[in-house]
Formats: sequence, C-alpha cells, structure tokens
Amino acid sequence: MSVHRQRFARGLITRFALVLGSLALAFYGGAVVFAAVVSADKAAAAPQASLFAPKIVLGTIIVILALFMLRHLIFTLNRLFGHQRHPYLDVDVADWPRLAVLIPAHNEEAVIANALGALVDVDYPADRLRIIPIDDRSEDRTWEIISRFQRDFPHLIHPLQREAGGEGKAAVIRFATEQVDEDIVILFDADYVPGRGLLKQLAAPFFDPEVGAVMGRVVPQNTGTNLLTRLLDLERAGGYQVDQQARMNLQLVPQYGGSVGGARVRALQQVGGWREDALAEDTDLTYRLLLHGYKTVYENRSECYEEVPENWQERNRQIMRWAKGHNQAAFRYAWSLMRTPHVSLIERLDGLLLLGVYAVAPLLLVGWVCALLLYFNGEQTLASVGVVTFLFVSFGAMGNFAAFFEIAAALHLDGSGNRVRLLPLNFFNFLVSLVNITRACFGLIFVDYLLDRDVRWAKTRRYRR
Amino acid sequence: MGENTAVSTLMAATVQIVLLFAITLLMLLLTLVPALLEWYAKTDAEPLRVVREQDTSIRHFATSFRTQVNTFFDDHGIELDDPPGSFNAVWHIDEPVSFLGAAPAPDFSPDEIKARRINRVLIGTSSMFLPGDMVYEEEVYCCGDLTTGDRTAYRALYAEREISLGNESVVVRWLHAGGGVAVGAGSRLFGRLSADQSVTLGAECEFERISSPVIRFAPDNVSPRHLDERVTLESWNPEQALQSIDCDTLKAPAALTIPDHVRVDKHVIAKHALSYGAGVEVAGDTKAGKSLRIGRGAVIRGSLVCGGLIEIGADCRIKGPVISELGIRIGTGCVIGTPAQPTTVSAPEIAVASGAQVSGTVWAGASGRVGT
Repeated sequence: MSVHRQRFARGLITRFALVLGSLALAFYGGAVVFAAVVSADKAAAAPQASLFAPKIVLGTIIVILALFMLRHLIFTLNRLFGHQRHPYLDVDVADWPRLAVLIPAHNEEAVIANALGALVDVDYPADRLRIIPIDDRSEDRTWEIISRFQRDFPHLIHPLQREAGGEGKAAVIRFATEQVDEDIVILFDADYVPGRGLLKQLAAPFFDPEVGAVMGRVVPQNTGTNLLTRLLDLERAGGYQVDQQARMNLQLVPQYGGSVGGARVRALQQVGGWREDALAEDTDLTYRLLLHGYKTVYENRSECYEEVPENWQERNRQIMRWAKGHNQAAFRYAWSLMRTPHVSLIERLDGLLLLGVYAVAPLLLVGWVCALLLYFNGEQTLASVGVVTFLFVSFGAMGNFAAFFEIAAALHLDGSGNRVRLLPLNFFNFLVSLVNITRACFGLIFVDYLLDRDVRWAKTRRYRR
Repeated sequence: MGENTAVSTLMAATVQIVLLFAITLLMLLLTLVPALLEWYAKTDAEPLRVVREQDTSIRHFATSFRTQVNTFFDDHGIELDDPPGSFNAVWHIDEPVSFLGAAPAPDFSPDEIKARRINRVLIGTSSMFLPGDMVYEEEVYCCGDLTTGDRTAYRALYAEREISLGNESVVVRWLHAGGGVAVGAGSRLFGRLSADQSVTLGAECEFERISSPVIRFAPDNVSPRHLDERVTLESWNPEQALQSIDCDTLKAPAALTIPDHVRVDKHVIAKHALSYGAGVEVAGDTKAGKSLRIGRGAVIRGSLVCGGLIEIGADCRIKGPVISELGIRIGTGCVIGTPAQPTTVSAPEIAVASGAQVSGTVWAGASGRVGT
C-alpha cells in the first residue's frame, strides 16, 4: 500500500534525527569521560582539594539534559516531518458510549454559565449524555447559575452539591465519579468553553478497549492580557501542539491533563479511582493507567479555551503545585514503571523522562553551581568546555513543558504570525519557573516528606468578568 | 602632574568599564528588539482561533450551497411551484449562473459544446439530464432527479431527489442527494458523497468519504448471500497465558489466534497480530496492535481497532466502528452497521469487495476502492 511507502519516507527523517541525536549524546558522553580522566590525572599529579565530584556531577547532569534535549528534538522533527496519528478523529457516526461530563465548580460565578451554555449545545446524542456540574461549597452565585440551567435543561443537567469532604479537584471528581453509572467520564474546568463536536471527538477513542483516558488540547483564551499570558500561550502551544502530539505519534506516553479529557470508568475503578492525596491527579492517573495496561490518547484537534494566570504570584503557585504533584508521581511510580510488563521499552523510557521533567530545573541549578565551582578553582579550560556544552544542552532542554525550538515549531504548525518574536523573552519566564520548580522540589523532599506534612491543593484564580 | 595623570587614567578606566557594560547591554538589548517591539505593538496577541462551530458533518458544503441556492431563489423571486423561464444571472463573487427553470436539460452554446466545458452554475427546478463527455466546472443544483451521461467530470452536485451518475464519472468536491445515489462503474469520487437514503457504487469505483444509511458496493456483481442459521457457540476458554487487565478484557502480550466457531464474551486486546476464526462471535471491542484478520461469517458486536491492516472475511457482521491506521479490506457479503445503528469505517486505504454493505460513514483518508 502507498501509505506504507509514505510512512517509510517519513520514518527515514525520524531515523536521521535519532542518528544525529545519538552522535550528539556520544559527544556529551565524551565530555563526561574527558572530565573524569582529566580530574583523575590532576588528582594524582597534585594532591590539592579534589574537584572530582563536581566534574562527575556536571558531566552526569549534561548527559541527563542531553537526553531531554534529544527527546525534544525527536518530538519536534516528528511533528514537522513525521507521520501524524489521529486514528479516532474520523469517527462521526456510531453507537456512542454513555457519557457523564463532570465540571467541578468552586466560586465559579464568572465562568460557569459559559461552560454550561456551550455544553448544552454540543452535538452528542442527548440520551447518551449527562452533564454534572459539581458545586463544591461555593460562596458566590455558582449554585444559583447551575440551578437555572437545571431548570432550563432538566434532561441534560444533573447537578451535585458538595457540602463536606476533602479539598481539591481530585476529591470533588472522586465524589462525583462515585455517583455516575455512565461508561465514560469527561472532565472540564468551569472556565472551559467546549465546541459543538468536542464530546464526540473525546468519546471516539474509547471504542478502542485499550484506551483508559483521553486528553484534548488546551488553548489560552486570555492571551493578550499581558506579557505573562502571552508567554504562557507560547509555552502551552509547544507543550500540546508538539510535545503531546509527538508522543501520540510515536506511541509513547501522552499525558492526561485533568481537563478537556476523560477516562473510562471501568479503567478508573480498576486503578483505584482518583487519588485525593495527589497534587497532580492528572499525572498520577496517567501512570496508574499505564501500569495497569491502559493507554492515554491525545487528540490535538479537540481544542478548548482555558484561562492562564495573569499575574506572577498566581503563576508561581500554579507551577509549584504542578512541580510538587509531578515529582510526587515520580516518587510513586518510577520504580513500578521500570518493572511493569504492560509497557514497551520505549514507553518505559519516555515515561521515566516524563516523570523526571520537573527534576530538570533543580538539576540545571546544580549544574550551574558545579560549573562555577570548577571555573573559580582553576579548571577554566574544563569548565569552559563543560559550561559551553552544558549551556548548549540546557538550551535544548529548558522550558518546563517545551523546549524553545518546540515552541517555534508549534507556532509554525499553528500558523501563528509575529508572536514567535516573543520567544527570547520566554527565557525570563523560564528563569522564574526554574526557581519556583526548584523551591517546590526541595520543599517536597525536605519539608513535606521529612516533616510528614500534607501537600495542599490551591485553586487557580479566574479572571473573566 | 602625576596626580592629574593618575586621575585621568582612573577616569579612562572607569569610562572603559562603563562603556564595556553599556555596549554589552546594548548588544543584549539589540537581540531583544523584535521581542520588545512585539510586546509593545501586540500585532499577534489574539488567542489561537478555536472554531467552536466547527462542522465536521459530511453535508457541510452541500448545506452551505443549498443555503446559497435558497438566497438565489429569494433574490430573484422564484417560486418552485411556478418557476419562470430560463435566464442567466451572476452568482455571488461574480460567478455566472444559469437558471434552467423546469427545462429537463441545459441548453449549451456551440462554444461550450465544442470545448466540452461548462463554467457556470446550473440550477434547475425539475428533474434534469446532464449530457456526458463534458466537464462541469461549477456546481449543479436540481430540485428533482438528476441523471448524467458517461465520462463526465463535476465540481459538485446537489439533487433534492435521486442522483444517477453515468459510468466513469468524476466528482471533484462533493455530491449530495435527498434520496438515493447510484454511481456508474469506474467512477472516481473525490471529497464527500452523502445521501439521505442510500448510495450504490458500481464496480471499480474509487472514493474518499461516503455517508448514508445504506451504502452498497457493486451489489449487481454478486448474488445475495444468506448466512447459515446461527447455532449456539461454545464460550472460548483461552489456553494461552493472557494478561487480564480487568474482568471484562483479555489481553495477549503477543499474537493471538481464536479458533473457529467460538464465542468470546469479553473485549480482546492483542499486542501484535490477532486472528479470529470463521464463525467467531465477539461480544466486546477488539484491539490489535499489528494486524487483525476476521474469518468468514464472524459476528462482532463491538468495535474493531488496529494499528495495521484489518482484513474482514466474507459474510461478516460488524456492529461497531472499524478503525485502522493502515488499511481495511472488507470481504464480499459483509454488513457493517445497520440503518438503525449506523457506524464508521475509517482508514487511510479501504478496499471493499462486491456485495458488501455499510450503514453510516466510510472514510478513506488516502484512497478507497470497490473491488479487492
């Protein structure tokens, strides 16, 4: 079949990238060996204070960052030139599964009406659909708005009100999921405004019995508010348009993202449901499903608007929560992932790298400290080689959710115009994130774990007026 | 003198240091100029466009065209019960339109007949015949039945009732009929084909996307088959070591073959090749990583999903969607979906044998053809 030949040609490009990347990795590995040999020679010749440890640490960090860079490079080339997988997108008529759409809402009076208004207008068969807004102890007009929709659309809207129980989205979703008898639960944040065909697109992958969860693409709506929102828009584009879709293309580990997505109820029950103690319940669920043999599917064309933080305090809180939650999942599942029989070797590797994505920031900082230490202790040549290599790979690896070249590729794929010019400014966003993620990592290890303190969930603020 | 020299040296050094920092800062800022200008000017600060009303319906273009025809009727005061005689007008964006009234066939000029090319929209209010061996570069609308000659190419066709395309026709963009559509042998249908009642494709037709309650593939070439009366099948108890991801699902870590004439009450997942024997009945959904082969007369009540080729043997009955990332071959006499419960068949390449029938949508991303 001609499709075979096209895929072979596309595969050649990816293979070329792999060879290129492997060569780059070999070069960085050589730098590590070089550092160790030079260190050992000098330590033998002059028994002054040994810098062996920082050299090895720096070299190891370079190799790890090089792995991340290589991964990002392959993803970008795959998105630009590779075969794109959208296997379920064309399903437009079928005996659709029964769907429960859950919308957790805590003080969402500014946005909940838009979400519900859009949901009652979707083209999913009404007899297969139940929309469940969950009012979680709101103190504003959220319940009043939900009740109005229930009166207008009693066959579709079946609200729940939560008066007690744990805080956080996972707790709310768990509470609601226990009360549904549908096949699939789809989750939307209260500020999301789904398109008419979105539910069908999100439901279609569940015809595949191996699929446990599905995730759509989130697009910032308040892009133009200020510089931060514009930078976050770039970051989201790279993360979804390139990173997630490439993982889908390469049959790796696309990540369930918590909203604009859904899960098979049977699979959820199998893996123990939503975890209330998980700060990033989306990452947590992705890995629990993977460990039980279920796949997560990413649907790049299932787009939905969301709000991104409009001030740095909110952004810092959000990214610290993500970092803590992600690392929490890394501690919980990295070892199990290495041992499970359910996943392929390539999925295992990608899954581990994905789990480690928030460890990159503290590693970068440690790497910088090592480089400075070497430089000021008379290892200028070695430090210079190391620092240049380090900067090169860290540039390729930096960006919490997308390397900068991924962002550029994403903007190209989106057909965006001049916003790519803002890319250099994202370096400042990256620096801020670097500090916050590092704070979160150390906080998780040295405060939350050692002091046995509960990790707390913080709701992201809404800006729509 | 000495003090002055020292001061001037110090000043020179200071100026040099300040200049060094200033020039370095300037160089840094220069690289940021495009970014800073974009930040200030906001020339591309709108959210990425998400089309909420995105209509993936196969009838999208046909519906839009029908709306334009209605507008044309309104603008020219045309009553369908009592249409005026033929006249020429200008469609929106300066396209010429010929209103044919109740004439059964268009009246072509000698130049058009000589060039065998019609570059105007044709609108008729009754049944219509379009002569063959022509190229119709613009849309054609017909209130009644539309019949066409052989070896003719069309941009798009819309008929409120039946459409009958001659042999070796070509439709470039879309075709829609309020009733049924019959397509002559050897035709090529690019884009979308939809009919509210049925579609019948002749032998050797090529297609991309078809949607209708009943789609028949070259039914004249094959005499109808009748399935043997179904007997009660024994439930299959696998001897191979299968992983069971839950109580409703069987998962094979490698290839899996299910023997003839058994019943499988669960979902089935195979990492590599999966083969169902003849007469197998599967209650759940099926997923195969590499290839999927269904034996003759199998009954699948769920979906079929495969990363590679799906080969469906003759006379199978399939209820759920059939999705392949490579290709699907549908055997003769197969029935996929029902008019009451339509479904989707989707793959880059689809080959359907004579005598098969699908209810719902058949979507061949790269190419579809009648005949194996």
